[in-house]
Amino acid sequence: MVKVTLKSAEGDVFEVDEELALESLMVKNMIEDVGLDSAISLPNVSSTILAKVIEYIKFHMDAQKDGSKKTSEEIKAFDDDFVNVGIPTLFEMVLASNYLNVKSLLSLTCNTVANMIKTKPPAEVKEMFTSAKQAKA
Amino acid sequence: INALPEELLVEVFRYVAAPADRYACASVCTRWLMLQSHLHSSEIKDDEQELSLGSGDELKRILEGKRATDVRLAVVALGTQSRGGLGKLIIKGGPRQKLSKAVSNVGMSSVGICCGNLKVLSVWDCPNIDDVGFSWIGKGCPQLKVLNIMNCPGFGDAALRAIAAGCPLLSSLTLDGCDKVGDEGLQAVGKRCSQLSCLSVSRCNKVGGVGVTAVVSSCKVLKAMKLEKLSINDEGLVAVGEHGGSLQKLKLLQLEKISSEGFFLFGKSSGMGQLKHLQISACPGLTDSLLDSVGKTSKEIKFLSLANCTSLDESKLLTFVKDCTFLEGLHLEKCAFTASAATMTTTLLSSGSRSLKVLGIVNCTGVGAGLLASLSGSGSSCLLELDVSGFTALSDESLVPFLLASGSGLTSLNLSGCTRLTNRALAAVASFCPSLGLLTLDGCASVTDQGIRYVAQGPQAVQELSLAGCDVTDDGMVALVLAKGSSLKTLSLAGCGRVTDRSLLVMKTACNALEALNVKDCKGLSRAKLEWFEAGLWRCQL
Repeated sequence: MVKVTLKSAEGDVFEVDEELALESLMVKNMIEDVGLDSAISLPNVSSTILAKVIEYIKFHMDAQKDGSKKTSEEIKAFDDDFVNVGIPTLFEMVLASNYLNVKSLLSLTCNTVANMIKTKPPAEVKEMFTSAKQAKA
Repeated sequence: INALPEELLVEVFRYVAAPADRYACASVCTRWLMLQSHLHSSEIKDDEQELSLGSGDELKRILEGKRATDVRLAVVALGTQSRGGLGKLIIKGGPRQKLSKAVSNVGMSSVGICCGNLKVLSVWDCPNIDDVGFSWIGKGCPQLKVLNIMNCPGFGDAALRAIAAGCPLLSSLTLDGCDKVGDEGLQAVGKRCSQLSCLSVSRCNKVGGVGVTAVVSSCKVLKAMKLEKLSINDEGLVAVGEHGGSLQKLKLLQLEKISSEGFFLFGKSSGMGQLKHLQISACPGLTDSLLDSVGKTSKEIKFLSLANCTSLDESKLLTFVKDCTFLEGLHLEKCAFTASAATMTTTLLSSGSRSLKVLGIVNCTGVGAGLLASLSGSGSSCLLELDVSGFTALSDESLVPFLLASGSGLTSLNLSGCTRLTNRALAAVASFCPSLGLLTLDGCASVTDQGIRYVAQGPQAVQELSLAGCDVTDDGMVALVLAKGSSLKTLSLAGCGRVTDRSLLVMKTACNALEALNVKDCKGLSRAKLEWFEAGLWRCQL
């Protein structure tokens, strides 16, 4: 199995299977452009977030493999748990999944944000997000 | 959350489907509002329920002056979407508004995106919107039936093309003061909008005969058309005459490029059998050559109005009237008669035009004193409205017999500027015109209190009365108000310097139906009393 080296914003190195890395269209394009020899640096993604993204892709790839015993309930449970993070982290994941171009993760995270907005009065939404911004800053 | 770039926010919003939630999002901040209002409902991933565009009452919104901004428009567009959709939208910018805040393409595009049910759109005085903004209407409002664009210099052919292509149901189009619109845009309208029944194009310098002809010849249900201040020439007008088979009402105003010959050929063209109402005003080329031909071809004509006709020959008018047996209204304003109109009118009215209901001869030169004398001989008692303002030669001697003969049906009488009339004329009005509702005596300086007393005893239902410039005092006013106060709706006393506060006191108690009062230049009235009076009135011009 060919390995791909990904480098996060902090310079941490993640070694992953090529198959997994190709799930990110952005990484896929880069591999096509520069090949596998050098590490692919992702200056817009922090180590924590990159680790989470890899975790997500890995789980879903396993779930799709033949002979996987995971039920759709289990997948949903994983997804729910996966996005059950603070708002700042969630936003970083939206940004990262957009940057890395991972469609399914982008849908999941955006939907999560949308669900947070739904059925809330505007003032509450505003407060929720300004406080998130401050916490981030 | 503003850390997220716009495309990601939009990505998030695509999962917020319920209208109430979308509206809540839009209320968070202006940026969100703009994003939401530019998000088309087809882009939304809606897995819960179908966005129901209810068929309930259509909503109508008017944005005027300072309220006519992009933000406000976006709120309206988005907010109404969830409640059946906006049916009617009127945007009026204005001179008092700051240009930077006026509605621009941004606001217009939110209308195009959110208001799929829009049927009526009026946009006035919005210089910030150009073709790009208006084109959104063509893209997003397929139901549009009525479009009025006024003083929008950015509205051009491209916008009109887009709207013509996207709004096949368009039935009424008004363009006023749109300098960028030319023949090309109107050709597109002709090609696509087969339902068009009403077209009005004013003050569009680039519009000429080609565009107008295209519309006239391809829109088979076009009934009414108004052309004002366009660069249409003789050929264009003749083409209108030839192809305008469905036209019933035509107004031609300030068309400077059309010659006398053009009008003649236009009248001669055989295409306009349905024409009932023709009005031509302030066209320098207009002469009586038109009458030569139009009476022969358009026999259905019911109403003819000519203004600023440089020469008007009596015999030609006479022939015209003879030909058009259905003529009900004739209005001649600022026309120069080339011969004495007296003899003409005698024959005019006795020779068949018994159906004439409305007659206006306003500020015409060459009108002799005998005009009404001859009118009275004809016994045209079905006359309902008479307007002879500016008929300076009119005297009591000719008006009185006329009213005796023909006044019984009159509901409206305008005697403005007939300076020779005295109280005697009013005595006749009072006795012979029982159904009069509107009486205008502006500038009849010889009319005094006695004349007003006659009016007070006269017509039962006078609702509108103008005494501007008459020599009236409190005595006359009190008599009038006590007798007629309860039916009067509008009253003008402009320039009646001898009316004082005493009249106001009586009017306050007696005039309970009064809606408008004009007291311009009434030096005898005190400001304090007027303010006191105004408190109980709808409107009061000072």
